[in-house]
Amino acid sequence: MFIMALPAVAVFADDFILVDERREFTGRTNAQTLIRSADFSDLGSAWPAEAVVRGVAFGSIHAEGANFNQGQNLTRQDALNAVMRAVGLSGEAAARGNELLAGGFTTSTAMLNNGYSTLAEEMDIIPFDWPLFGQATRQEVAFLIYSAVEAVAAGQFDGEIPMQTVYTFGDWRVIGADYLIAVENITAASIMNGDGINFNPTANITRGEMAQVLSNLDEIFMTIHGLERRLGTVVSLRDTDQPQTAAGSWWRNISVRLGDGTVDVLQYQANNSPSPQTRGADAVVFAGGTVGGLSLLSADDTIEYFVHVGDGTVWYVNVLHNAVENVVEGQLFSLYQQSMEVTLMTPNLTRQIFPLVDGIITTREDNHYILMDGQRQNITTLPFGQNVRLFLRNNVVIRMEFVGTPVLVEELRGLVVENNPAFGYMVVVDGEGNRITMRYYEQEMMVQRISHFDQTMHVSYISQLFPSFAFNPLATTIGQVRAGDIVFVRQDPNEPGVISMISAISNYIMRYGRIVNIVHHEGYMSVLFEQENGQTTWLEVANDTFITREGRRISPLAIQVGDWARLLVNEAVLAPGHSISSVIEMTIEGNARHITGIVRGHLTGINGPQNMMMVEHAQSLSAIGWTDFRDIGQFSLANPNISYFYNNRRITANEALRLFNPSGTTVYIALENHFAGERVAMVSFRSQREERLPAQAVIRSDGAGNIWLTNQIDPIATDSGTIVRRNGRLVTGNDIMPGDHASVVLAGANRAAVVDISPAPDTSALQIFRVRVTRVWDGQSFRVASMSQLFGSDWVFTPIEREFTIDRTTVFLGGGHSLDTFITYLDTSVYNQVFTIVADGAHATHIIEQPFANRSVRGTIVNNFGDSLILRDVLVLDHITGRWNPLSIVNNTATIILDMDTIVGRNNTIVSPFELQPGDEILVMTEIFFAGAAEDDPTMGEAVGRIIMVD
Amino acid sequence: MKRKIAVTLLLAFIMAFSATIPAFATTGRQGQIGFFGGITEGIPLPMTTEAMILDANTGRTQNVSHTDLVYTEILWLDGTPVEFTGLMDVTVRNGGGRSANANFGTRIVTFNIRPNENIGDPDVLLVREITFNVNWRRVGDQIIETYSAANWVEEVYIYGMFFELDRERSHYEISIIRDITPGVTYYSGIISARSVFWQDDAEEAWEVVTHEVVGQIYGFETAWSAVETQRITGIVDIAGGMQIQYEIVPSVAVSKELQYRANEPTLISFAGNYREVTTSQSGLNFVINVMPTFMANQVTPQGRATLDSFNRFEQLIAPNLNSIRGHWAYQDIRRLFAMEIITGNPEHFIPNQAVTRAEFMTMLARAVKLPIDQAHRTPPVQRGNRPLQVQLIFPDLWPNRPDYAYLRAINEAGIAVGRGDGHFHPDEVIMRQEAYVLALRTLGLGRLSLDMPPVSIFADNGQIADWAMSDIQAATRIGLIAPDEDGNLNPQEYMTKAQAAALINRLIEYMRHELIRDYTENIINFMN
Repeated sequence: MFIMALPAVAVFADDFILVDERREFTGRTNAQTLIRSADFSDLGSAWPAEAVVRGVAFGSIHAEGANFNQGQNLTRQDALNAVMRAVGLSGEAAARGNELLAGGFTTSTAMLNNGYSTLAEEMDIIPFDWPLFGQATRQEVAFLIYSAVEAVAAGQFDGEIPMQTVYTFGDWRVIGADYLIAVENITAASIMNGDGINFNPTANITRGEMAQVLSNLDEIFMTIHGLERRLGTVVSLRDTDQPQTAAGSWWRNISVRLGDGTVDVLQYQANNSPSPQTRGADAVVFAGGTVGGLSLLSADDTIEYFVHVGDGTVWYVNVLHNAVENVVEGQLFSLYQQSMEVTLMTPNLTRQIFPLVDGIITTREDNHYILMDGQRQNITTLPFGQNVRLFLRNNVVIRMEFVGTPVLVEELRGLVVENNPAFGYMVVVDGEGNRITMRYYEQEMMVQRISHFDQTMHVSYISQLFPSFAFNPLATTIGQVRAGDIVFVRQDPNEPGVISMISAISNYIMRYGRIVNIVHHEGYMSVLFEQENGQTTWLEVANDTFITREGRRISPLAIQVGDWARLLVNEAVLAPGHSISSVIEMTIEGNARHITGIVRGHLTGINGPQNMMMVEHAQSLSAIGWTDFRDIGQFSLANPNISYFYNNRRITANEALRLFNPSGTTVYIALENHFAGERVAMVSFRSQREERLPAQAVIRSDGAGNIWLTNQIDPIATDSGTIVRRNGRLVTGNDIMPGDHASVVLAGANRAAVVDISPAPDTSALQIFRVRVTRVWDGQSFRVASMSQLFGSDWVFTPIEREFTIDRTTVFLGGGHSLDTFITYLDTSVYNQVFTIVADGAHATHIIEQPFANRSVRGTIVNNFGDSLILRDVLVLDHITGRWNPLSIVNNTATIILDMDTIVGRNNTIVSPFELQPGDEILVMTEIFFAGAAEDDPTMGEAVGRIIMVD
Repeated sequence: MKRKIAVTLLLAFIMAFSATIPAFATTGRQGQIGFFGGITEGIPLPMTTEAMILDANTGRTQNVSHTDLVYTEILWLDGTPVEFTGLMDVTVRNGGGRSANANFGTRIVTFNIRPNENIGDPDVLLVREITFNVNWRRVGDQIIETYSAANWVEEVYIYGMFFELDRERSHYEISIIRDITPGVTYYSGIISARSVFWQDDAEEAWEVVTHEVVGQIYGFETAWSAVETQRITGIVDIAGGMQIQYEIVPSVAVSKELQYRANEPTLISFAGNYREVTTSQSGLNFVINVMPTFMANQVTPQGRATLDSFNRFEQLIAPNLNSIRGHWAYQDIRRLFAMEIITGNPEHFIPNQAVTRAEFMTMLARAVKLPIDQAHRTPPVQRGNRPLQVQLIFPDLWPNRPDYAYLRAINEAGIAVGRGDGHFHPDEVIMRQEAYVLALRTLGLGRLSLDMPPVSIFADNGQIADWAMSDIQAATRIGLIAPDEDGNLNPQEYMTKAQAAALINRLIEYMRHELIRDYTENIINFMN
């Protein structure tokens, strides 16, 4: 299908781009000889070089040796021979020479010369007595050409026409009478031209000049030889493998686009052999001083080439280097990937077809893409019917750009770099980088802005089409348009430079990272924000910025150092190297990356493939000290950002593994919460003796890592290897603040290995009452007749009526009541019923149906099973004496049952019993009196905890 | 009566799926954790050798199955979060008989979830067999898939309570868009389902429990990592009047990491080598947003379940890189050699020499494992009497180049499109801005640029070519590149081999870590 004379080819879907009308022309087998003989070392890109190479390709110039000697004068014999060859008589002349050889001529050159001259005489190309020796003159050459062409193809010249051209030469009188008609015809046909003034008929002609003259014979030559001259652009090169020969040759196909859109394919045999002798069919190519075969061609080359239509061969190719580039614009009408053609509809409704250069189209999985505006675009999504601009080289499309349809409304699109409503101007940078300043009158313009949270409108506000009186959710004031917004601006037609309408869209990006420092100022705070790649930025956050944590809006003061945050940032580049970032929204992470555990032990190895750190003698830090002993603990290292320390020095994981495995060096590990389970966040090795201090308040910190505790005289130093957990977050020693409630593990004298900071326990603000209901306003409030308030472990009675409000947020526990059933009628009436309530001011947050719990027990939680707690160091309040007595001397533990009505107060809020941790010291209110000294009856130490306060 | 049927069904499923059919996904990983708010341990990325074998077998079948994946889901039908752990099978069958290159078709995707006596709580059982008819179409580089439940059987047993699906009143629909960029396939989908159950309560009366689910699916796949995270909101309405609303975010992230191990013996021909390790992180996190107030003390409003995975691994080659030991980019270069992204004689990889466009593109193509057309791998050779034909898409890009297949792949993927003069210039030295643009295009994150960037943040903004500006701005925004200490990008400077290795390694790390983080922590940690 692709090549007529070659074996069938395997078809690849993406290979046949050129399938339209085409003609194939194969190189000639003698081309290699011609190329070698045309490659004269003294020609290069000298002026007649192309003519010489062309002459050789056409067979009219026959020179032996490495040099052409272009400046050498031509002999008459040589001139005759060249002309005879040019008109295709070389074969016949050689035959005549051969015949004459029998007559006694000895050398082949002499034989050939005789063949040419004899034939020329016989054909009346030269008169019988024409001298063959000596140097040829210009008029003689004109005569030779004229006679020879007339002899082989009469009628090519006008013949004995009225003399016209010849008289334009100043020296026409010098032209010999015998030559006058020849010179007239030859100059009229522009084969020879003189120097513009004179013809110089008797001057000699050089070999170079002769070559040029012969090349001017093209038209005649082509007619004689059945050749056609064509002009086109190389668009692609494709290879077709032949059955492998020893030299490994294959056919290369060069597709050439002609100006009319049709395609010629020039074929030659290429091979891997370095020896030119082994090459096959080819054509002579002249490319800017280089002579070679068709392999010289590359895409985009503009070429002039000569083909023999009859036998389908290509003879000669001349690479023209003055490619014509131009640009056309029109409606994109169609694009055929198969034929690589694009059709434009011009304004006068004519269709123009332009071929596309290869490389502009790619194919992937049945989809075809074209480069448009420098980007790959699927052909099916091209803007058909709209205007495009085509960049042409020799009429072949090398680039496409989108133009679109006519602009109806002048709108400027740009990026706002400054908006100053006070002075009524805005500076916009347009797509070309121009800074444009425009004025506006705030009250006389239309402004709309699409915010990041409001991008789901179904239909745009259509006042642009006709007056619309509906609410425009995007309408806003010009003050809301910020630097960094992308805007479309329309100017007032009556007052250029003044904005009449503006439509803006926010242009924000999310940033994730950790807050490493906060400095509060009046009205705003500066936040040092560390992104996950370690890059830090100071950001200013206005106090009215929308800040949330776990779905609730929080105050900027609630943000803590160490918090992870998601910021919605408006980043605007005002000038090269100068950008501003302003925080639009801030979301603070909940406990997702909290440090959930601190472990100590001794490193015993790393399981590389499973990415686990193995620690022997592993224990976890809790409020009651190091607990949960395991011989081997395994901790996930699936965290790309683990930091390792040895005392104050940062080390690598490999160094740690090499030096401390195994060793007596204690390792402290901070474990962080992760969506796929707990993982290591920080690893710190300490070589000094450990001491754990009881939790106490920080009374001073110097901001350089030294802290003073309530019960310690000397300051305690922290260093970069200290694990500091502050309210769940991993921070540095510099972030410890006076007033923090810290539990410290020392490694060596006054140096902290671990500082664990949590809010100091406090339940003093919790208001818990025992009340009797006298009236209920359904779903709104209720009145109580009298009440007792819990202070510490005492209920204090107040005979005062009070009202508490209730709503959907009020939690009902312990009885089947809900807001709907908390009423004083029907058989579930709560009239005169007694409840425990938790109040926030006059609002009841919890209403609990539970027995009156007026007995008190204290203890430290050892374990929380979810439905019960185990306490140790249990003290029972003797209400009569007011003394706290140990429950038991032998086994001073108690079990506290957690029931559906159990409430737990911690840090002045009611929390779930699930949040009680081992180590929490709690006060439990229960209705059962714990008997003291229960050595012989373990069940004595068990009761339902009704109210539990962590303190 | 009903309960008896359920037990029979359970047994039947357990027996039917005791056999294992090993297979890997070739049609995308979406659904590797199901669409039901649960998680599996994830399907590991294939090892290098495994991938080669898979590549060689690609195209033989469209059918894929993953069996016996350990599966955890939170069940809500009794109004509280109850953890179920069992096994899941996924099978994907070609439904329409269409070739892989057709632009539309159908598939049949079946999920089979069942209890296993050795794992999970024996009092919490789930049997779910759901078959989706999936209609899909492709427009350019995007694929749209719509799942619709065809067959669906489901029975749940929670601490003595039995629930059976009312098929006629239940619906499950999913629609997913996949966007295929050169190095990353991104996808996003929506889930909407209503399942209606009959509950057999203790009094042998039947109550209706409705479970309404709406959710979003986000995921991506690269050669080095794949993540799927779903964010699902559910409402359980128990006919008795109780309602709860929860949000659950199941997520699985799989990736391939490199670990270097130095050898202990001295008398060994190589000092150490890298191994690649597949890792998997699976977790689901939930929050109960609304529940009856009386439950406040019984139910923790937040919870989590995770699944451990067993990491697989393979040793990587150990090239001798003595000639560059101590160079600042030694680690980058060593890693790229180990991953066979840089090949050849290490002695010829001289770090401070220029890297050509072809060299950089070859590294890039290997780094993101661009699909390589086998036909382009070797220069055109004769096979029997059927000669091959190749296309010369750029006049200076010849098919007998050894790197031709990679350059072709880079071009077909739209990463490199020539220098605008119709030539590819493969052997010219690459400019920094070219390399940055190629890297960004590989990630397919061009949209993150300002789409009309008048200026960049770089002080030498004026040197950045127009064609590069947008992609460079996007690359800056996503943190792939940053200004140097003078605030410059030096876009027109040429790039050394060491710099190229560092950039390619950075790109891989970006896919391994930054992308994963954005689809897991950045979503899960800000659940509310």
